[in-house]
Amino acid sequence: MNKVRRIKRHSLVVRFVHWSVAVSTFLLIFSGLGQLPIYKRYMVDKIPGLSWSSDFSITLTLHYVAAIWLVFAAIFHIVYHSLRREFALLPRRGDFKESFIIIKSMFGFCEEPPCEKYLAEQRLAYAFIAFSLLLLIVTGFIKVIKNFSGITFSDAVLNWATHLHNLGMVMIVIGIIAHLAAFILKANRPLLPSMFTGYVDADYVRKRHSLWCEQLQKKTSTGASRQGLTLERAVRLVAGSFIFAGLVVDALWWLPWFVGFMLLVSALTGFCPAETLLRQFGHQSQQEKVKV
Amino acid sequence: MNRREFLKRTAIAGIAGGIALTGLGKLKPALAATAPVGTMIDLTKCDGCAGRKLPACVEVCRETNRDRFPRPRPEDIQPYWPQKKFEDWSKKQDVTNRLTPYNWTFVQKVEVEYQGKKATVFIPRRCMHCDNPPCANLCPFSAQEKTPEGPVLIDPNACFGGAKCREVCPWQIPQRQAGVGLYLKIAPKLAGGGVMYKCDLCYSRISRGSLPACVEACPREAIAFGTKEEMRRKAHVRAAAINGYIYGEKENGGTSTFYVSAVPFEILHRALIAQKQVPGLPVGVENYLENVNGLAEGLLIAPVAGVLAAGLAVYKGMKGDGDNE
Repeated sequence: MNKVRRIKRHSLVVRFVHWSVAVSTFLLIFSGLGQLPIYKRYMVDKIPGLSWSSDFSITLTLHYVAAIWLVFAAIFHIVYHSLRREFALLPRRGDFKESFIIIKSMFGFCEEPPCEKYLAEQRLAYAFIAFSLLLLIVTGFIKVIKNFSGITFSDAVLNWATHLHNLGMVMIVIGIIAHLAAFILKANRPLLPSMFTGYVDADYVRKRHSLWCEQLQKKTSTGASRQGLTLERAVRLVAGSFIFAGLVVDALWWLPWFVGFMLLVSALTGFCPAETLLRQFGHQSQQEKVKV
Repeated sequence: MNRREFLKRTAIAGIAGGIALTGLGKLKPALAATAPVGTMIDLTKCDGCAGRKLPACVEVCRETNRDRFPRPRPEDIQPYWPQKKFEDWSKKQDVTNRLTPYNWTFVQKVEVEYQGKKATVFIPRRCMHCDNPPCANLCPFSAQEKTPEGPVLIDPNACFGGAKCREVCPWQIPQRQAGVGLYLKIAPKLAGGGVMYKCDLCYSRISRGSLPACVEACPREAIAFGTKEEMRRKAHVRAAAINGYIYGEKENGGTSTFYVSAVPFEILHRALIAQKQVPGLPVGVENYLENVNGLAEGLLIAPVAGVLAAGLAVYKGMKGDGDNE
């Protein structure tokens, strides 16, 4: 550990999700503001290269496409980290107090408390941005569905969806400004490269994230604790994916029927081809694992 | 059941569930009992009220809605910064040959030639009250509403006057008056442009069981009012009888207004454009939302794809060397 110069902080998957959310959110804010008729009024469409900005049909299409990207990334993020049981970014009791101390320490008023992989204020910032995005996605879905012909919502639902969507936009803009403003402070700057390369400076980790550093050291000494997917969960994963695939792809309409039938058969007889196949790939059931 | 149908049903079920949970979906019984209404406008009967100073429908519309016309204070009418222009009709309230915030219906007069004969056609124009109105759906502040009865209403207290509704309307129906509305209370010099006005099919009158004023006033019974399906039938019967054409049934994805004419609407549209009259009558004009509604399917699939991709990534990560921290 002492020889290591840099430490991996963000995997490729995490960086992919971060930049997907960042780019799609930027496009959504730009195209969303275009749904107010402001680009024409304030003559943004007179700027060379932006003449399209006042065309609602273009900005609306862009808004939908970016929304598809954002929703994909958001759901991916939630499912991915839930399955891996990575919850270190979720806020905890006492985070407000701790953030205050950390920010005070950045200006040299006090000693910084020992931190884990994420600082208390990072957990709070994550919660704020995640909440804003979820609010925007949920209200956005209502706004999308109302555009179908034959679907009418009550005026109250639409009003709530519209105003909360507009509020969410203001919240996310504030969140992004605060997120970027954090890098004005020198103390936070070593974090910047990790969202591009994945790595942070090891000295920085030792100094600022001493608890994380300890965890990493423990892990290297005991060997990577690999928590493979148990056979039971792997089977459920396959069954669920097949059902969804059957629902989404027309040509695979028979898949849910097949999965349902095979689940019944396996429950009654114990015969399950998926299980046999997954065993070949090296999955073990919970019981077998405990024995090992 | 095909895929499109499934996605639509899933969306409806999800939303219906959400609404049931919030309790906001309780339909007012009075509205639930009301069938959507519509009008049928017979262009073979309308003569633009020959001999009268003003067509009766236009005159009665102005009288009926006078109290709801905008009353701006002159000092509130300012240019839309940074633009130099502003839309003010308060000094031109007498204009009756086009739609304005003070004139919610008017009659076009157009000369056409059809089957070798010259003819003059009079066309009463106003909001068509579309089935899936882009104006109401795309209003950024939900200041417009499609009522269960059919009419599309603008809330003058919520409208900011951006005029987006006019741009997405195939007939540019809503008309703007500066110097009135919500924007005056916020930053009148910097944002907002007034309030949009248009026909509401005399919503308060029809809610009481009366006819829209224009229908009642028409001396030649050229405008009929009833349930939408009744009007559709009536239009088809009339069109078959005169070997004529219908407009408004398919346009913009369907509307509550059915025009019947002996002259094809393509010819009327071309003549209107040639004579520089607005709005035209574009036949089969597509709904502004058609394009994005196609994309909406992608939005319903995105979460499913996210779940599958995440499952796959986790699976690969577990099989790998644990480098995926």
